[in-house]
Amino acid sequence: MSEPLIEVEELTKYYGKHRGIIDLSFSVSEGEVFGYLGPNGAGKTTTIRTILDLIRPTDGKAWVFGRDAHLDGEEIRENIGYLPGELSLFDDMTGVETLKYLANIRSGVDWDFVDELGERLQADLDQDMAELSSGNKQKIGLIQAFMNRPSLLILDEPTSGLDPLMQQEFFKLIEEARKNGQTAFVSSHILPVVERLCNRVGIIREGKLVAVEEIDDLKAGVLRSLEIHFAGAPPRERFENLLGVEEVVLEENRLRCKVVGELDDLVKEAARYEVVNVISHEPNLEEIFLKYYESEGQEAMEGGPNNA
Amino acid sequence: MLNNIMLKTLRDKRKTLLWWAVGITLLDIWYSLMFTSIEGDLSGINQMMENELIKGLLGGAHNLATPEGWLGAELLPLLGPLVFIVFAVSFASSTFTGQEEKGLLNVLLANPITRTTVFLHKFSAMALGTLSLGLAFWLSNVIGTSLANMDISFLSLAEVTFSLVLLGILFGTLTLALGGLTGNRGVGTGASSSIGVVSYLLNSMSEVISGLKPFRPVSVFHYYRGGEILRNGLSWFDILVLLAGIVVLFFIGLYGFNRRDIGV
Ligand SMILES: Nc1ncnc2c1ncn2[C@@H]1O[C@H](COP(=O)(O)OP(=O)(O)OP(=O)(O)O)[C@@H](O)[C@H]1O
Ligand SMILES: [Mg+2]
Repeated sequence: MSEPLIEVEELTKYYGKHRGIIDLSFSVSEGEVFGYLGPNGAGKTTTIRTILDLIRPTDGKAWVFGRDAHLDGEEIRENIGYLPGELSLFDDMTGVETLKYLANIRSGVDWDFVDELGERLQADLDQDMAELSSGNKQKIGLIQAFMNRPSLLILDEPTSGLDPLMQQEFFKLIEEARKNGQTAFVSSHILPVVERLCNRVGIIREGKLVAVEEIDDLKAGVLRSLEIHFAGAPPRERFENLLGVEEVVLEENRLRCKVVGELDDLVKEAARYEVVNVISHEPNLEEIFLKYYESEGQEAMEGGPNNA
Repeated sequence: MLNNIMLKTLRDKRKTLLWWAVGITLLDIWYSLMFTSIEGDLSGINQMMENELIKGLLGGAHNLATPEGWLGAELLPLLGPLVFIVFAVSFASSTFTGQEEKGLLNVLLANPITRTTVFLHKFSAMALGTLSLGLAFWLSNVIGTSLANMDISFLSLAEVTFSLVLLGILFGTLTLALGGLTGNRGVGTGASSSIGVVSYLLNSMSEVISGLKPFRPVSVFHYYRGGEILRNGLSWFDILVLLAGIVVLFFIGLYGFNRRDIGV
C-alpha cells in the first residue's frame, strides 16, 4: 500500500486540564474519503486543528504527505484545502474579495473553477460577509477550500448550514474530487452524511477513537428506526420474524420498527401491501456508539478492533 | 490592497487611520493657532509653570512665548505621545489578537505561510500605519506653525515626529509581543497601556521627586524628549534605545507566536 496521506500516532491534546483528544492513532490513505464521526465535543475539531499545526499536541505526532505536520507545515499546506468548523471570514469583504485575498497567499487557483463552484453552490459572491446568512457564508468557505484543487481536503462539518439541495451539490463535489484523485478528511456528527460520502469512517467519542470501519461494515451495524404507513393494517406477525427487524409495533395502519443493517427483507415484505408512506428516522449516534462501547472490551481480548 | 497580509491589514484599518489623521491635523493646527492668540498674555501660564509639579507633567517647559517652548509645553510631551501610543496599541491589538479572537487567523494560517510571515506582516502594517500618522502629524505642524508665523524649522519638526513615531511603534510592538505570547487581546492592550502610563508618570515625576531620578532610564519616555528635540536636535542614543526596544519586543512576540496554540 502507498504511504498514508495522513498519519496520526498517539495524538493527545489537553487544553490545560480539559480533555481534547486522547491517544489517537489512525491513518488516511491516498484517494479515500475518510469520515470522522463523533458527537459534539468529541474532539473532531481538535484533531483537525492539530493536523494543520494550528494547535500543538500535548503528546504524539501527526504526519501529512509523509512529512512532519509541525516542522513542514508550510509545504504541507500548499496542498491542503481547509474548511474550519466555525468559519469566520472578514465581515467587510465580499466573497470575491475574500477569495482573491486567499488566492494571493496560495497558489494554483483556477478562476474558471471558482466561477463554476460559485454557480453550482449558488453562492452570492458580491455581498459583504456580514450580510450573508450562515449557510451562504459556508458556501464561500467551501469554495475557498476547493478552489486550488488541493490533493487533500480537510473539511470540518462541511454540511453545516447547507440546505438539502446544496448538500447534494456538495456530495457531488466530493465525488468529483475523489474521481480526480483527491483525498478528503471529512468530520461530521451526522451519520447519513458520512454514510453518503465516505469509504472509511473513524468514530470518535469523548476524545478517544472508538473504531475505524469500512463504510459497509458500519452500515451493516447501523440501527435505523423506520415507520411505514399502509393503506390498510397489515398482519403484524409477518414482520416480526424478519431478519434484523426488532421492536415491531403496529398502531392501526402504521408499522414502527427498528432495523439493523440491510432493509431488503423488510421492504420486500412491506411491498406486498399497499404502502402510503415511509418515514426513516435518522439513526441515533449514541446507539451506534453504545454498540462500539459494548464490544470494546471483548475485542480488546480478541486482539483489538479491526483498525485498517 | 489584497495582495498580501500587510496591505490587507492596512486596508482593514484604512478608515481608522483616516480619522486619526484628520483628528491629529485639526489638533495640531488649532494648537499652533493658539500661540498667536495668547502670545502677548502668557504671564499667567508662565507663573503656573513656576509650580514644579505642573512643569514636570508638562515636560519641564521653558518659556512659552517661544515656538519651541509652546510646542514643547503640551503638544509634544503629552498629547503627541498619547495619540501615537493609543493609535499604535489599538492598531496592533485589533489587527492581531483582535482578529485571532474572531477566528480570522484560522483560514489565514491554514495557507502555505509561516507564522513568522504573518507576524512580520502584522508588525509592518502597524509600523507603516503609525508612520502614516506621523506624516500627517508633521504636515499639519508644518502648516500650523506656518500659519501662526512661528519660527521653527521643518527639519526639527520632522525630528520630533520621527521620535514620536518610534515611541508609538515601540508600544505597538509591545502589544504585538504580548499578543504573540498570550493570544489574549485584553492582556495586550491592558498591559501596554499601563506600562505607558507608569512610564510617563515615572519620567515626569522624577523632575520633581529626586528619589525617582535613578529609575528614570527605566522609563521609555526618558528616550523620547519632546520639546527638547526642537531645541537641541535628536539624540541618536535615544533613537537607538527605542529601535533596540522594538527589535527585542518583535523577537519576543515572534517567539511566543510560533510556539503557542492559535485561537483557543
Ligand atoms: N479552547 C479550548 N479550551 C478548553 N477546552 C476546549 C477548547 N477547545 C475544545 N475544548 C474541549 O475539547 C473537547 C473537544 O472539542 P472539539 O471542539 O474538538 O470537539 P468537536 O468534536 O469538534 O465538537 P463539535 O461537534 O461540537 O464541533 C471538548 O470537550 C471541548 O470542551
Ligand atoms: Mg468541531
